Amino acid sequence: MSKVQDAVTEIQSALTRRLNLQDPRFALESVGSKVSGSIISSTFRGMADSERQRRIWDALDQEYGAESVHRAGTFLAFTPDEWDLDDDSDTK
Amino acid sequence: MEQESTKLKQKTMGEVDYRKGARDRIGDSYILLRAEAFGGSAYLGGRGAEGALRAVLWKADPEIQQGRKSLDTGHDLRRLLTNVRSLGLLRAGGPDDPLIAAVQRVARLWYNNMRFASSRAIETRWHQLGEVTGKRSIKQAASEFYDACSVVIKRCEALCQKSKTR
Repeated sequence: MSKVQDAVTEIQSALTRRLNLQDPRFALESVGSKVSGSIISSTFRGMADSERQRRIWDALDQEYGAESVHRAGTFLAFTPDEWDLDDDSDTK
Repeated sequence: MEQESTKLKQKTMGEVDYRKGARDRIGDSYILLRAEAFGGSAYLGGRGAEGALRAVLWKADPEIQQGRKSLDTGHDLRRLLTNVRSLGLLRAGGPDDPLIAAVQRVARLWYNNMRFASSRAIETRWHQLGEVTGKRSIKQAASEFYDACSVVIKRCEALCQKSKTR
């Protein structure tokens, strides 16, 4: 496994464990030294985005301490409904 | 030297550039929100929303991709939304209503020249708009503004991802 994949897998694992994510899906990528991307889980249901971010960053800070800002970029937190758009929208 | 400068000017941004830029701006916006730097947070959140709408337009319009039509729509978020709707990407009353409402909310409070404005000036403007009141602090208003920008960016990201899989 490459270093890039290692970094992505490690963040996925840390977030799943720390946030107790239900049925998580990830669309993450490594950009330079940081991992960024989308996290999809029903765990985020009923939370405003600022609350989702607070929980994500609290989890990363608990996992990595001050190192978290060097490892993590930006994560967009979706519920499955927000990610899997209904088929009746007219996206071409 | 002149040729090099022309080359740089000709390099246009595409869907991926706008998407990743929007994601980075909303990330920056959250960092500033946490640090209670509300003016910078609001500015970057709105800029991210603009980038996300541009990404959807770029992705959906082959004329823009082929350079036959410009994406130079200015920074009017309502106009960008109108262009997205005119491409048939959204359906009134359908699942995309959250995008429409969120863009309207962001557009009411965000303006391009926010980039030059002091945090105090932004707070004063939001006060005049009734967004900040005696009972509603700038912290609360900035947090909800961040949430609206995030809704725009996430919905645009989902639209781009959806069209990828088709």
